[in-house]
Formats: sequence, structure tokens, C-alpha cells
Amino acid sequence: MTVILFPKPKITDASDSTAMDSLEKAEAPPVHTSTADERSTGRQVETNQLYPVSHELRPELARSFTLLSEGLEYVSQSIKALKEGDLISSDDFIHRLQALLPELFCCRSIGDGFGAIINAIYQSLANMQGSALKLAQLETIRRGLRRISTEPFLELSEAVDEIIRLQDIGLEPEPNYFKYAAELLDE
Amino acid sequence: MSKAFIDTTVLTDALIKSAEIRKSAIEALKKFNVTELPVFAIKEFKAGPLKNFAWMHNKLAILGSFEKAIDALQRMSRTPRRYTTSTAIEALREAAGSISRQTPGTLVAKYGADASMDKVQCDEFRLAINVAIRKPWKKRRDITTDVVLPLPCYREVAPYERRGLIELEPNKCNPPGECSLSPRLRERIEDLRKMREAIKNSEKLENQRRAKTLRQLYRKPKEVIQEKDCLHLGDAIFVLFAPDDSTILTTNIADFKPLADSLGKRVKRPEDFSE
Repeated sequence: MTVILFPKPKITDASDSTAMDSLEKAEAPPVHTSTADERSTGRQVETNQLYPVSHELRPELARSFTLLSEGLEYVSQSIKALKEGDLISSDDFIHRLQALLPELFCCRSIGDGFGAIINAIYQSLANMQGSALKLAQLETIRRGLRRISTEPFLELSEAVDEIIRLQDIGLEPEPNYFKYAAELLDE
Repeated sequence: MSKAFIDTTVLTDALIKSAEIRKSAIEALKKFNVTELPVFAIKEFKAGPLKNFAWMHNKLAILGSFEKAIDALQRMSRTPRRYTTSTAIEALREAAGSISRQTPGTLVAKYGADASMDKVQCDEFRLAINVAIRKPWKKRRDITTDVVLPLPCYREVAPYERRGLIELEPNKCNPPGECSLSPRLRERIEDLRKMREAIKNSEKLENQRRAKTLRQLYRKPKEVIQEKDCLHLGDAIFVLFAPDDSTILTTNIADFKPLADSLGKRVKRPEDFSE
């Protein structure tokens, strides 16, 4: 498998000022994409290298990489704490994830697949109503976040597979008020 | 060996309703060794509940506003159950648990309208509905042990998006000549007559249409059976084709029971199996 590495672009600030300019620029997210192909060199490619000018053309993409990397770190810490039997710390790391999801949802112009997964994870956590997550649930959430870290432009139909996984593990990925809509729309 | 024959209402409960109702339907299915889903139920599901969900999605996509879309839903809800409707609309407007409640106003400076409360709620609801349409479509053939009664004149095409709107076409059959069930219906003239007798005095419009179509089928068996006839038969199709050793599973007992009784078949609701 051939890995193409783009040359590092020259970055200049755009002359036109927009609301998006206040976003932090081009942080390097520690999200790595690797391949299991045995012929590969084993070299890892960072997500921002795959989308090298994203911070200029799609500021929300650059911001999402930063937030996703932070969120993934919280979930990993939560899993680690749970495995060590520290339920309080495990749950508290998820509070931190929960607090950054609304801003991640503001990056949903990246695509409906991206927005749907963030929305589903947020609702899954909200619908727990304060109860701590189990290990399998944490791992499924981490899987969903990893998926949009490596495939931010995934189609909604593919995102649905991740959302079905959340539901199959006992989470409720729909907004709490959705049941009222379902009631009205099924008449 | 116990066997259940599933109708559209149970398919809808198992796929698209709230977690509690979904669970009840799935639990009921688990009580049987064999569960059969006729393709006719998939067709009705797409043309009914999914059509309404697609309408809601498209309204949100066009208006780009949660508030305005809920207004439209309220105007469209012409149910006689006024109290239930107003309670549901109120709950929707409140949008408890919405991600917008946790979206700080300061984010508007960063993300513009995408961080405004109305737009966040609109997209949250639109995405949830889009997922709620695609998820059951993916799982429709997995909730039962068997999918039966294929309809050669009906193409199961997944919902798709065009210009940001959800399209459900085709949601009808496209028979080259007549309905593909016609030969099998003509083999059962006496059963059609019995079912018509059971509902002929019903005051319900749906039953009157069904009785008229059933009568037409046994009085003029050589006449071409069309798409609309198949649609009018609805519940009668399930009752007619349910195997004799099966239990018809439906939430619509009132309409199914007279038809099922006329052919000596059993009919139950999912909640009849809850412990």
C-alpha cells in the first residue's frame, strides 16, 4: 500500500475576517491512521496530514480534530479508570466528554454522518440520566468517535451502523423528546 | 413449534417506536420459535410510518427552523385525540434533553447560526429523524426468523436523499400486468367471501373499502386486480396468508379479530405476552 504524504503547506491568514477566524488554528491532533497491511512501512499518518489545509478551507474540520482528540483521550482515561475499579474517575471523565460534545455538534457542517454520530453519543449520555457507563458502552462510544476522527466525511448511512451499535449495547441514542414526535407521526 | 405472523403495526413497534415499546414488541417475538414477516408489511411500513417521518425531515430541511417545523407538525396533526396531541406538541417544543440546552451562547461568535438554539434543535431533530428512517430500513429483515410472501412487483429500495430531502420512491408496487398476489387470491374465493361477511356491516371507512374490494374479488374473479385493490385489502392480506398454525401478531386487534375469527385463525397483541 502506498502512502502519499502531502508537503506541509504554507499557511497565511485570510484577509477577509469571518466569525470562524476566532477558532484556534491548526493544532496537531494526536489522531493516527494506520494500516494492518503487512506490506506497509508501519509509518503512521496524522489526520491533519490527510487534510493538510483543512484549517484554512474548513476551520470547523480543524477544530473538530482538536475536540475529537480531546474527547477520545477522556474516553480512554474513563476506560482505564473503570478497569482499575475507580468508578468515580471513570464517570467524571465522561462528564468532560459530555461538556465538549455541544461544541463538536457546532462542527456538523462537516457532514450529516459526522453530526448524526455526535448527536447520538450526546443523547446516549444524556439518556443515562446520571448513571455511569459500562465498559462495553464506553468502548462503543470510543469506536464511534474514532470512526469520525478517521472518516469525518462518512455518509449518514454508514454513521447509522455506528448508531445501531450504540443502541445494541443498551444506550438510547435518540433525543428524549423524540418519542413524542414518533407518537404523532405514526397516526 | 410456535409460529407468529407479523403485521405492519408490530413491525413499526419493533423498529421505530420508543425504547419501551420496541422492547415489548421484540420480547413478544422472542416467545415464538418461528416469526414470519410478509414483504407486504415492509411495503406498508414504508408507505405509512416512514412516509410521515420523511415529511417531518423534509419540513425541517426546508424551513431550517425547529420552531417553525413544530408549528407545521401541529397544523398537520388532525387527530381527534386533542389532549394527547397538545401534550406531545408541548413536550416537543420543550425539547427536554436537547443538545441546544448545553450549547453556550458564546459559541455563536465562533460558529455563527450553526450554534443558535433554533438551528441546533432543528439539525438535532432532522438528523435524529434521518437516522430513525434509515435504521429500521437496515434492520427490517433482521427482526424475524423469516421473511415470507415475496412480492415480485414491489422493489425494496432504501430511502435516499435528493437535494437534501428524503425520497422514499418507490413506495408502491409496479406490476407489469396485475398484482402479483392475484393468482393466490383467486385460489381463496371462499375465504375472501367469509372475510367480507365478517366486516360488511362495519361503519369504519377502511373496512367499508376492504369489504367492497373483497366482494369485487369473488364476484368478478377474472377482473384485473390493481395496486389500489391490494392497498384496500390491507389487514385482509395478513389474515388470508397467515399460516393456519400461526398466531397473527398485531396491535390492531379491533380490525384484525373479525377477519381472523371468520377464518378460524388466532390473533394476539405483543402485550399479551408480557410477563
